[in-house]
Amino acid sequence: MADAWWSVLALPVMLVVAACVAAGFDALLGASAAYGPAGSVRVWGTRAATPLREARRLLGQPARRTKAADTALVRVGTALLPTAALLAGAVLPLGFTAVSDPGVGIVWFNAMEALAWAAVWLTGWGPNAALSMIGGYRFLALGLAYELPHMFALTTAGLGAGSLRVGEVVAAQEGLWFAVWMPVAFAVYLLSALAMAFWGPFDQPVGADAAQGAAAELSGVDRLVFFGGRWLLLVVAAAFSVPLFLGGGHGPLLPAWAWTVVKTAAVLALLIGVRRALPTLRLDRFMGLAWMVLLPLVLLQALAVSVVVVLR
Amino acid sequence: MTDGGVWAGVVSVVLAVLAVICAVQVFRFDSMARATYALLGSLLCVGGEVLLLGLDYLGVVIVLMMTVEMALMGVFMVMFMMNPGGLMPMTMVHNARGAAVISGLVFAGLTAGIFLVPWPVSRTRAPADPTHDLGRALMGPHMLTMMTLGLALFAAIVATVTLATARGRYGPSTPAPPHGPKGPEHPDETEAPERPHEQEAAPERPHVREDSPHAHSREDLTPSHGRQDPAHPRETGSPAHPHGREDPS
Amino acid sequence: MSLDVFLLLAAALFSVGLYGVLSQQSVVMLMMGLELMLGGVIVAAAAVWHFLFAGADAQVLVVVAVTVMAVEMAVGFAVVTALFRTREVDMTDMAAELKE
Repeated sequence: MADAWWSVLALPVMLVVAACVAAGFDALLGASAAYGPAGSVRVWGTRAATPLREARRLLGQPARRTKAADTALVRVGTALLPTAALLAGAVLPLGFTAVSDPGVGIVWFNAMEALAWAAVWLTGWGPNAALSMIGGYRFLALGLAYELPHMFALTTAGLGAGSLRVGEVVAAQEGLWFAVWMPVAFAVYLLSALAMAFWGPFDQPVGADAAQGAAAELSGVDRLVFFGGRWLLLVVAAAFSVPLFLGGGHGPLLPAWAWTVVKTAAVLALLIGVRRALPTLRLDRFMGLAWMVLLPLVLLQALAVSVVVVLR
Repeated sequence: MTDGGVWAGVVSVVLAVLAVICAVQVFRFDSMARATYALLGSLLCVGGEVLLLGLDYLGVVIVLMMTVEMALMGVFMVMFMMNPGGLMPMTMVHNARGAAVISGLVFAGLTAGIFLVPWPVSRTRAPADPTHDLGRALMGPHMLTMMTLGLALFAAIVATVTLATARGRYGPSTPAPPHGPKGPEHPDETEAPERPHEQEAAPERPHVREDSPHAHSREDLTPSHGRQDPAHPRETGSPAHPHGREDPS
Repeated sequence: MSLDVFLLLAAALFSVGLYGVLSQQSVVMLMMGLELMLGGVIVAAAAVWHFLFAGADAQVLVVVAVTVMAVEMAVGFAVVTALFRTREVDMTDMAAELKE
């Protein structure tokens, strides 16, 4: 537990930097796909800085309001998304110290990312526009699909450590990472990390077929805050898989914080690459898949883990 | 009795005031989306208070569950309420003054009880890990509660899905025959639904969707618009004929 | 932090919820009143746990109240859906008869 007061300020800064790097990586992948491989380091730099240029452009863009929009709800919704991400990131350990390490850290993470449900729906509802409302509704449908497998994956990690405290989950992985002996839970967690940030195959809530769905009527600062919040949520969700399943800061040569960064970067690279590899999954098919396949699988995984824990 | 620092006391009062304000606003907002999220605000304050009282796990679980529940409730509010966006002023209350009097009396009675009851001094010390205590209790002495909750949740799932699917409780619906199956005699009509409907000062017509087949058939064929014509009682739809029958008048 | 503040909050939430339950015509708004009443019960049970008797009973009451909230909402919305499909109304006044 980091008792230093400055850790509360350092966390958002580090998460924003990580989000910028991740967005730059995604921009690199996209530009390579569209324009071919980069010729020189300068072109690489230009492509990777695309998100920052986009952010500066959005800051200067005048806000566009639709007719009879519920502006208060739009503001609350867009501001709630990065807030949820930052609050959820409060239990992320860098190395072995986190901003706070409550006894119910895993449930805290779950509760804070559930605020994203409210955030995206409010953003979709506020502008009084049909397509953006559809985007908001799509996110609720997505949430209903991924939430239960996600909760059981988190529970399985807590089971393996015998505690809901993130620090103890990390400590329990000194010998063997959880990803090795509970692989189903790890895979389901990664899928739910994609879904909770509506990324990759689950981007129907902001899908191109609905004119960017919940973000259809957003412009200017609102758009920056919303998509910035989405990046933060993706970074936090990917980073949380490290203490839960990949052993936290444990590793041979490097210091603990370096291992955390390396593992988080690997998971983030995987999640960002998945978007380029897989097409958008239709929500009704994912709902069927989640309830009929993922949920029984993760329940069986929990059963297996609890048998191991009892016999240990 | 008091304990904890001044800071905790101030936060508890602030959260309490916020919770009550949000609760009152639930019934004052015109927009249904705002009403739902005012309720969420109130329940999040309740979760915060539970956290302040030292019940970590329960407080966070309340925050989690209420967020998800209110997000889904928003969908239903929009589906069923006629003014979801709050673009028109609207109140749909019955007996508002009587309700206010009753709830005021209840609040006065409860407050009197709070200040007059000699609360006992706590003889047990707060345990270090309430979550562990709760788990042990639910799996031990309170196992009956756990089983009942499990059964109740399962029954709720089954009942909800049965009621809510389009198939309904009675199986697939049979298509309506071309001319109404019954003649002018309607033995299954009842007078009860019409009477409160006629005496209401609030909306005359029931909450009918304009694009439904019921609305069109009624508009086209019934001689009276709005008020119920006692000579031609309104058909009561049954799930076996979801698209209604033509009004024989 | 005193017991009175929390119990007053519980009483206030309960009363506001009761007002909603008694006065609202729409079934969905009525359910929101029920949720507020149960919120009051939760605060009262948690306050009793902290100030009076720190056993597991009060915590179990909180768990039961939270479960009741969830069940009430789920079944309530299913009933409203069924009601709306057959009667095309969502008002409590017109749900006087639910027989088919």
